[in-house]
Amino acid sequence: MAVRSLKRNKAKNRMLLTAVILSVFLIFTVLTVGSTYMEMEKIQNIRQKGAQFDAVLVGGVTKKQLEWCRERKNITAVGLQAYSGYPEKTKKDSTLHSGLIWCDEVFWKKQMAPARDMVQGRYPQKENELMATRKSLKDCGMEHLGVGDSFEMTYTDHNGSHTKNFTISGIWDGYGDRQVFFVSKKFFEHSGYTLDQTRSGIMYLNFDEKDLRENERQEIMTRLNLGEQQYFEFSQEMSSWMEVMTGAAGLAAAICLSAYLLIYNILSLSVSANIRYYGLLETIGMTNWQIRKFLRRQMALLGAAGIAVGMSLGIVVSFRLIPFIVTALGIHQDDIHVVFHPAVFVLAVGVAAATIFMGNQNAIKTAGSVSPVDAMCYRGSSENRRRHKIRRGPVLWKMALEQIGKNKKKSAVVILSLAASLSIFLCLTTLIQSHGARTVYTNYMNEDLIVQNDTLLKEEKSDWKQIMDAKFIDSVRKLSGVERVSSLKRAEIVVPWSGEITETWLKKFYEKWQEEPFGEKERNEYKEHPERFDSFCYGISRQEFDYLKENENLKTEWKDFREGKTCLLYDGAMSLPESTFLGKTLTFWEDRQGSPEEKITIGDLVSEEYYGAGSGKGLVILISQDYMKEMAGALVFRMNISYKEPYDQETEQKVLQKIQETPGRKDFSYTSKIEDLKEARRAQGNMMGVGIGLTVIIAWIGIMNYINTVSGNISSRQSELALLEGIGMTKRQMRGMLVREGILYGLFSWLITAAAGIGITYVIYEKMNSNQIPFEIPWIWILGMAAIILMICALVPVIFYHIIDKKKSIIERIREIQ
Amino acid sequence: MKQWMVKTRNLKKYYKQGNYIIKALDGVDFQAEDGEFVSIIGKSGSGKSTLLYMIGGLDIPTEGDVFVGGKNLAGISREKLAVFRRRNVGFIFQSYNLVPDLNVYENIILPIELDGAAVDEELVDELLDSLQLLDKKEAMPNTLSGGQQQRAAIARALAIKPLLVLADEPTGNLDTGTSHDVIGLLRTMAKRFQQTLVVITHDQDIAQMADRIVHMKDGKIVRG
Repeated sequence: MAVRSLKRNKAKNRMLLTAVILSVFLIFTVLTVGSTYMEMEKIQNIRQKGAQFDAVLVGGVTKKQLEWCRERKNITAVGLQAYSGYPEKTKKDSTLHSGLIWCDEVFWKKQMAPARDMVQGRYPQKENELMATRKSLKDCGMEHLGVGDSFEMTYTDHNGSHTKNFTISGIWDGYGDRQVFFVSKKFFEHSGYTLDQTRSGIMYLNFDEKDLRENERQEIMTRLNLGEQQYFEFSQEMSSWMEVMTGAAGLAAAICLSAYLLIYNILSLSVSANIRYYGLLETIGMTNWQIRKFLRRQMALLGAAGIAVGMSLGIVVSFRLIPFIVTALGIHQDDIHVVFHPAVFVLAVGVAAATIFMGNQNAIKTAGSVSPVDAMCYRGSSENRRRHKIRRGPVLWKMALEQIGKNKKKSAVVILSLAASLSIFLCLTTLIQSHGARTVYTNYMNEDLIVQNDTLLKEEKSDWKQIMDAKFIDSVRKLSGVERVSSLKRAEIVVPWSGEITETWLKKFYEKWQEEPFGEKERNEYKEHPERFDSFCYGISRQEFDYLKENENLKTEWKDFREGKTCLLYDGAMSLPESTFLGKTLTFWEDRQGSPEEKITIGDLVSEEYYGAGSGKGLVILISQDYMKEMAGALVFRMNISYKEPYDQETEQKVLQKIQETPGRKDFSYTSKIEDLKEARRAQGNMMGVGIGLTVIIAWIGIMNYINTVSGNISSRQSELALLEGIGMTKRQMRGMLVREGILYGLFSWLITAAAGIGITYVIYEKMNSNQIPFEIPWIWILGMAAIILMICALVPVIFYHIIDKKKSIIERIREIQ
Repeated sequence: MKQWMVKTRNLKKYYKQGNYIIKALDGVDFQAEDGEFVSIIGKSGSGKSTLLYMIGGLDIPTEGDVFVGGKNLAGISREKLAVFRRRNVGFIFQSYNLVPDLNVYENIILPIELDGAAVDEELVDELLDSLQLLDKKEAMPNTLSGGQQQRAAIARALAIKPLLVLADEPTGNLDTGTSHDVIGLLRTMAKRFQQTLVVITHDQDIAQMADRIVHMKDGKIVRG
């Protein structure tokens, strides 16, 4: 009988079946694709960091710390890395930017492996062997070399400078820092560096659980007994694991709620018809118990069919269609590995089954609470208002509003599910759009290109060259597509012993950056030969000053700064005490014969690492470029370039071409925003594509939900609409009223999205905003989607009205009421 | 010379059902004078409701003409028919058919509002008073008795000052006493506003209250 009843009530059951299919499909697809998205984010993090780890200790690793970590049960991996020197020059290039790093087996084989794409050869065993990357080889001018090839390289380690012949034992490629040569353990042991040295040892830790409690973290920090120069940090993912999981659970709950509303809404629409049917069954002698049994069977059949179809659809879309579309769109060529979670399967089935059960209980309860005859005449309970005040205003708007207010619960369900879709769309597009900015490293002052004079990084002053003179800078400035060029000049200065100022600076500097503390010997040496400690001053532009003033809350005024009355002192990550420096007068002179002595007041401390390049131990001050003009020996250290169009590849090519045309082209290095973004996108893999797939599915589900609901609503109101037509409502007015109803649904869902959706998005965004990027909604996407939703809301009721209008005449529909 | 408010000429309405053709109306010539009260009686399926709907412009004939106030309804678009209905025809149905979300007053003025015309508040109050609904002005339909609902439906039909009032078994859901009251009121109001009244009924007593009785059988007028 249940099967026959299902067959007979095809239209009604088709709607309910669609709702079940959509719900199961929604939960399964969104959560499967969502967990794939999270998995990809995890991979992206590994790629960005260059290895998979949960915490890192930098600034040297003591034996005791190493042993403690290795013995601790919840630490599953302890990987080591050690700085072993740096390449100085090869026969092809004399300004190299790589490092010589040793890493242990745990780091190389376990922690770094997920961030590698390719390895040829093996990790160095002998002292003269190197594991290279194409990038590091290119930096040496040796990009053509392969595994087994040898080349001569001069490098510097803790013991000094050496020139040796090296053999490439392997080449790798992947993510993270690729400007590096990995060396053997023997090389490291002979380099003079040890693991416990500040400049050398780094330890990477993996934990067996991601949600370490705050007290456990504190305990680890305490037990490690960190030294002054050591720095221990839990990874961003580990720090925000709980928040991300809460956010994901919230999102999953919203999706389940949306699915629940989808089924519940359709069930409540068909409940009146069901109750009438149950009444009829009761009049012919079916007992309440038999009705329940019959209903359960009917719903079980419907539920099973809906769940099976929904799940199949979900599997096809998640595992086949999305990867296919994303690849077909050419967003990324890599394969997408969709993650299957059995929990998602159980959740999808569970929510659908529970909703069907609960929705049906409602009908059974109502049917059971009234007499069989009353049940047969049941027409649904609109809210029982006895009277209401006469309302004035445009009749069609009034009626549309009345329709929405008629059954507040039902309307709320439709509006909420639309708002849920729009809000999830808003949340995901905001997160996806800002993903790059939130997680990608950006250039100083967000410049498009920063070009650096590498000769100024050399220790020998005789090697310092002016490779970016005024003429060159001007020629770059004149390139079409270039908006602005500013230069950063650097001059070496001598700061004589100035009591507390120099004492505090050097003491802090040695504590932070040197192996040995600042002692009597060093103090005396400084007093006698301050020029040996290499102090520097940088000449900055107004624009840079304003940037620092805003970002570091400087109190210094531009006028005093420009005139050379005040300067800024670089803090060097040493946490210098303000009281020792601010307002004090600093004496210095340019490190050239016959340079006059200058006096300047220290206005503020700045911590911007951009000014931290260079090898000196002395003070680093920032002065205005106007004031710097007086220093004859100042050289351009960096040139910052902004393009008229952000990420303009063509302009960047022109600038790089200009560099290639200069004689000192090998001494340039640059950091490009375009390349950073490319690298970030490479690390992101298919994240963007999967995210787009996810938002499209959610938007589609929301719309389908509305279509399904409205079709049921119009179908149940066909007699009422015929009556309105009967008393003289024209078709145009009918369309107008239905369009207004739809618009009201759309507008109310907008309102909820604007209030709750934006709020929730903001909270989730801030939890994931490690780069402190200002919250910005991708308005074009959101307004586009909102407009589409409003348009669909307005059109769908009219379309369904046309369908029923074509099927039955007014007379037929009016007769149904009689 | 008599003024015909309603006149049909050889009116036919055929429905196709499978291989059969159902003749709901089969060549009906019906007339009603200006201000006349005509009742139509006949068994279920005799075609009386179909005739009423044709006269009211709710349905389109298969053949023949319908003149209301001298205007031929044949060939008028659905849109224009709706406007014609709300300006000239007041409908009263068996199930009252009040819009459940509007109160009594809003139901009464709905056709006027749809026409964009100004509401004659005096007339509405007069109707409410005559139909004893003045204290129910703001009441919702579901709080009214069957008789009260039908009286509200009458007020709605008359508020537009129609030329023609068409009632399809208006007392079908009412008890005998209330039925007589409702028809009495309807006749009084129609007389007062010079309206032509066509009422379909099964009830012989009700039919007797009309100026003229028309009998229908198998889609044809057999008497009257």
